[in-house]
Amino acid sequence: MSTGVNGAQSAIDFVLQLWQQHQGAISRTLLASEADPAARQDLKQDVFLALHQAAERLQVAELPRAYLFRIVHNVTVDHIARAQRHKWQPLDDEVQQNMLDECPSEQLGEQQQSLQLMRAVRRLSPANRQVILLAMEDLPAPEIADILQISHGAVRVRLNRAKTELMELMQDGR
Amino acid sequence: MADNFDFAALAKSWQQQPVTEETPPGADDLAQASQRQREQKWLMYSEWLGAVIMAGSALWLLFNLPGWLGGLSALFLAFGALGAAYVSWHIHRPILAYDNWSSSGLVKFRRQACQLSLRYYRYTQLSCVALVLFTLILWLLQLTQLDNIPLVMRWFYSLLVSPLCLFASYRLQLKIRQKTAELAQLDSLAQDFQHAE
Repeated sequence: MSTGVNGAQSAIDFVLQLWQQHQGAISRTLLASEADPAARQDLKQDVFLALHQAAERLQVAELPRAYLFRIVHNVTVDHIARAQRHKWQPLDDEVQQNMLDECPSEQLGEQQQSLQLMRAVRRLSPANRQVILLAMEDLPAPEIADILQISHGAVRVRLNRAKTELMELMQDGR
Repeated sequence: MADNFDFAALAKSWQQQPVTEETPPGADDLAQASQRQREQKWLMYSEWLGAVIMAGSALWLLFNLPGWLGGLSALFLAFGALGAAYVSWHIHRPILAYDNWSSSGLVKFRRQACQLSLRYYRYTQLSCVALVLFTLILWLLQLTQLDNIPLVMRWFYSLLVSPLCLFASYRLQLKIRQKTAELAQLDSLAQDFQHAE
């Protein structure tokens, strides 16, 4: 019994450690997928619950990072499917203000570019957004294929389409 | 077109943007998430209870109201009980293991679940309308002297069952509208993922 409890605890510790390692990427994924802060908080809880439930499998996974991102992206897609919120929404004031407040005047241009990028990413179709988010985190194509459970060829095709859509959206947003 | 795009620079800019870091989830997050999961389980249990009550009522009618009226009512209730149990089993039982799904498979599952809910709501609405019609038939049979229907039964169906059925039918119509809109969204999402494959 105590071995089981210790095992479960070590699996949860592993999940927390993994979360901390990738919290930047997780934050960006959640931010790109849900503009409303309250709904994003719910999404974060859903992600954590899913990770918590998969903790023991995650601990023994061959590629824990791929496993983590698969869960994050699947929960996000499920959130979109249930909440019907995959249409673009303006960036929430809090994040927008934070981004601009923290920014020295010489970097204002870069920040505006970041905002433009975030807006464009949010306007991507969900399937394209998923692949772009993973690619922008510098994940290699085979790992993306593993996360999305599609072939390498399909990743290449989807990524190409997504890049084209992103470029068009960024040009439109100018 | 996409090849001319400096994606590496864009990715760098993406990773460097300041974001409000999501703090590691704490006990509160887990408690709230577990609470929502418990609510889902309670919803499932209440649906099972509803199905058991319907099945019990069907049996009661079969033995206590012999004849075609009892048989027909029991049949409706039995179908209702089966439908409620089936929908509950397929929609509310699964606590999904998100690591075992592809996003596309997940969307397909949600779409099927939504279609199933929609059919269930339509069937339940039809059952409600049938019960109202049944009440009218009871009065018609009495008025035309074709059968002698007990007064208590006529008042039970007229004052309790029919108003409840009319109200349920109205609520179900609202749910049907909501599910239809949801299904349209899921169709578009499923198409998006199918197109991307």
